[in-house]
Amino acid sequence: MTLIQPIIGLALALTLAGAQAAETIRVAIGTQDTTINCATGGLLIRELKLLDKYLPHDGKYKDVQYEIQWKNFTSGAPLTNEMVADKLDFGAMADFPGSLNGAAHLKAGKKSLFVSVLSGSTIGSGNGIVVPVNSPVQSLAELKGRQISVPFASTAHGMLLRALKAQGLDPEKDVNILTQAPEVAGPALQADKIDAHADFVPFADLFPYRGFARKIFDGAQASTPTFHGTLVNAEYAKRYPEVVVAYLRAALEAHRLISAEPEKYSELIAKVTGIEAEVNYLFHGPLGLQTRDLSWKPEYRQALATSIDTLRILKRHDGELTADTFIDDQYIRAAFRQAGLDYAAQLKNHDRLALKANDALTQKPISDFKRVAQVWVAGEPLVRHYASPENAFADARKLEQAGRKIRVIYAHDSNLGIKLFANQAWFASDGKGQLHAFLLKGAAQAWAQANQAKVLDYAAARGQAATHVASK
Amino acid sequence: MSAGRIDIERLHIRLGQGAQAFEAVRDVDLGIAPGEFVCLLGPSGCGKSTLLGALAGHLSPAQGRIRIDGQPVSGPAPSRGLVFQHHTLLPWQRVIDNVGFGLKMRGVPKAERDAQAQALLASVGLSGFEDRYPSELSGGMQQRVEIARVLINQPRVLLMDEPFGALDALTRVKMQQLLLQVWERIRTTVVFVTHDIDEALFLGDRIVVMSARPGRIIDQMVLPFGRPREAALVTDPAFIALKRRCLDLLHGAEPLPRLSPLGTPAAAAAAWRFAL
Amino acid sequence: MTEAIIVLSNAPAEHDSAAVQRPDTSFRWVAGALSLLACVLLWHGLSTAHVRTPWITFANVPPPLAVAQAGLELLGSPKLLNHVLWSWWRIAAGFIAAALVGVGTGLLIGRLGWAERMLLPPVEVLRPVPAVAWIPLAILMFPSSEVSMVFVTFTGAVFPILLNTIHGVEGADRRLVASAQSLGARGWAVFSQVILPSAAPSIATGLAIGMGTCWFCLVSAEMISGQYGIGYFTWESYTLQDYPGVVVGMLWIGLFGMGSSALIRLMARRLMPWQAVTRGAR
Repeated sequence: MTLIQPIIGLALALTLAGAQAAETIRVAIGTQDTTINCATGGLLIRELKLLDKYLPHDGKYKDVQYEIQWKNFTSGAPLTNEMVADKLDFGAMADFPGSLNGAAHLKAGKKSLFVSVLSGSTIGSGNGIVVPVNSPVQSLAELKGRQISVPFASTAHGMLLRALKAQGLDPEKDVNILTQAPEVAGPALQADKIDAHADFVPFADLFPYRGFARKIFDGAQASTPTFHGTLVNAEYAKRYPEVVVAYLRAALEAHRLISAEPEKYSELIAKVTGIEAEVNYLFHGPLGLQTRDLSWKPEYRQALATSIDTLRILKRHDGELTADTFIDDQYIRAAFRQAGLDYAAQLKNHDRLALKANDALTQKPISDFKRVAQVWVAGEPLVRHYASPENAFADARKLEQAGRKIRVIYAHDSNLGIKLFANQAWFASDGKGQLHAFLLKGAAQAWAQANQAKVLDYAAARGQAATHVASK
Repeated sequence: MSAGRIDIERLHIRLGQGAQAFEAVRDVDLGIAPGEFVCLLGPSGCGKSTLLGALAGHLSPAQGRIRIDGQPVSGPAPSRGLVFQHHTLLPWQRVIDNVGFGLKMRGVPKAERDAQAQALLASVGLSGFEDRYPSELSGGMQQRVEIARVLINQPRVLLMDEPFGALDALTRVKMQQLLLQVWERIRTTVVFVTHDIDEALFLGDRIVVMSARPGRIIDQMVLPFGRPREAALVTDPAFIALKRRCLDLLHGAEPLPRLSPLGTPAAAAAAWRFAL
Repeated sequence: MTEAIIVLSNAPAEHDSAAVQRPDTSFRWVAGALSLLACVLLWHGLSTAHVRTPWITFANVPPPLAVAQAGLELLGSPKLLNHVLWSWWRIAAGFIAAALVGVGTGLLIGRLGWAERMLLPPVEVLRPVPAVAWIPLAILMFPSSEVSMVFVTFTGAVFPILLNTIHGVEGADRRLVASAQSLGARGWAVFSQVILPSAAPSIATGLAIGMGTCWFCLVSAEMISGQYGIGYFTWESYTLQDYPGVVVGMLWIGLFGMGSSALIRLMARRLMPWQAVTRGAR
């Protein structure tokens, strides 16, 4: 009997507390951790607890309790599902699934807003096409009459269709396009079941890094901009605009942190997702494959408009979705203002993350970025930078002879400018022993012919660099 | 038929496993002449069905031995037909195929099998039921098919484990008369297990009375009645005197769970393993 | 001596249990149809009124008319035949393989002690693995994508078939076996004449259940190589947020699953005529 009294007392106290309790605002964010270019909009904010720094506690948010929820997905479709079902307020995904997100909301009588870009490439890098590592195929043209798989209705799907058309191939007749999610395509490539596979960040580079595939096409070759960004439920944004701005400020902060220390946060992403830091750095490091950018550049608006049209042509959705009513940049502008950044300037800035470093071999500052190469030595926290592949290879040889292990070597494509894994690239060596890197064998051969140079693969290029340095 | 001599010497049968093991039959010595109709009478669970199972070859004794016509018993055989209390007809075969089963096992061609089966069915009064399935027949009819099935092998020994125990009283009486009628023609050795004194006295040439568990033979009576047995026999004074004697012998015996010729009841049940 | 011919009654005895009176078949059909109609009406009401309760909400569930429209679109699509035929091929191949492996292994395990000790533990470990989890291994182990997909449907069907076969074999009445032995049956004859037919009803049940579980796994299987198939169509609709399409796919799978299961049961009834017969039926 004596137990009843404290229980009643507790119940009363709780109800009183409940009556006075502040409003609880849910901040439910859907992330795609394995799509690593969304890291600033999800993984990094979550792991570094950046939201807590920016969520408002003044004005109408004085006594508010925030209930922050995180949910991770491997693709956009289930994320959209949960947003439509009001289980999530924010979601990070690419242009194509984003369009489907917008259409799905409209069909359900709701609305979603594309509030910010997180990372993208105005030339199209990030999407790519790979073949099994032992395949003789070296270019897209050779895939005529073959099977290509791609995650259905993804940004890579859009790229694939445009790339095929640009090549003069009919997607319906000249190739057989199948649907395969990345987790299914991986084993299929390993077992040589599929002739080629197109995928989005980071898989077109992750699979080659893991050794069972080879990249034969980069989205940059199709010159179609692509991006990943954040969507918000419109109703939620109208009710809590300050929360949306707070989220975007957290994204800006995450962007600032990883720009300053790309190696450190590449390792963090690797720890959480299992995607190797070398692949993360390929995207997020200076002069990376994609550019982190939170502004709505005209190219990205165009990318979204194109995806809406492509999906309409595929008769996958009809409806009143337009890029202009879908994109809402008021929140990101506000976030820039509050962070003391210039949005207008960022809109015009097409540079990739800048590299300010000295050549680790010659110690001279690097001014010409066309042939930059990088070496990541095991055990070292920072990547070493070089003005040229031959410098990088020479230094790598020295380090290896001293017993050090090399994690990865990066180079840049002389035509496209994109960052490559050096061990996947083709090289052309001119008379002076200077190396020019290329993604495609055909491109290396064309350049070599025009410049009286020799075509070398990675092993030969490294061997040559050794003798070259020795003879210096 | 002169075959069918049974010699049981110092037979002990143990049933059950481990801690639950028990002695079902203790020190049985019994000789049965060819063509003799012997009834084993005793209280429920006394071991008479167990003894029958050992005769059939489904149970092996712990001690002692059984010989049929001088040959030791080592497993079931068609020369020792066995009839259970509830029929064991194969439900998926028609009556005629059930009856012809024993011949099929010997490789007899179908036409011959069917002819013999039909004859046997006629002798038990079931002409016209060849194409039925067992589930379509009444209990008495099923037991008749069972008997016909066993007889087609022309067994030297017919072992019957309370074959009419599941039937109603009127059917039982008629089945007893049918059995005697059929037996008169073939004169095979019969070992008939029952706990019904009237039945034992009506059918047998000799009654062997067994005690409660562990089963031992406590008395044997050669019956003085002539054949063919008439229905009026049950009120004959000699019959009643023998009945009283049996009642005295069986008086006070505590009934135990019924055993079967295959062992303990648990052994005969299928184990449930997994549901889906 | 005249032989007294004993006349025994050959008519069914009165005290036999009366056969359960089954309701009139046409009544059952009407009742079933009305029940389905009621469900559809309820669905229509809940989804168009966007009913929300604390535990379940129908606000985003596509209403029956939208699903019907999506269904008509699919029926008019030239791809439908491809979808149906490819799915049927994967189901049929997986099911037949499962029937052969399941019944064969089940007979062994049910009958032979050493087989049970050796084979049952790995079976029990593998049984709970869901179809989706088999996908990566299926791709790596088999020579073609089609075979990988058939493998996944196979894993769906094989376990119910296997376990029901074991159950049927183990459940064979020992008295029937003993009687058969006393009539001269030995070794293989005991198995083929008594055990196998005795297990047949269980095996048939296993096959009917296995056919249903085979269809369960279709969506997972067709994720392996997506182009044709009802499962692929369902998954593609999900990817595109085409919820009416998802429901259409679900209904197709349900329909085919139910139909093929019923077909199995029908065939079983044909092959086991003795089960349908009851006392006094003729």
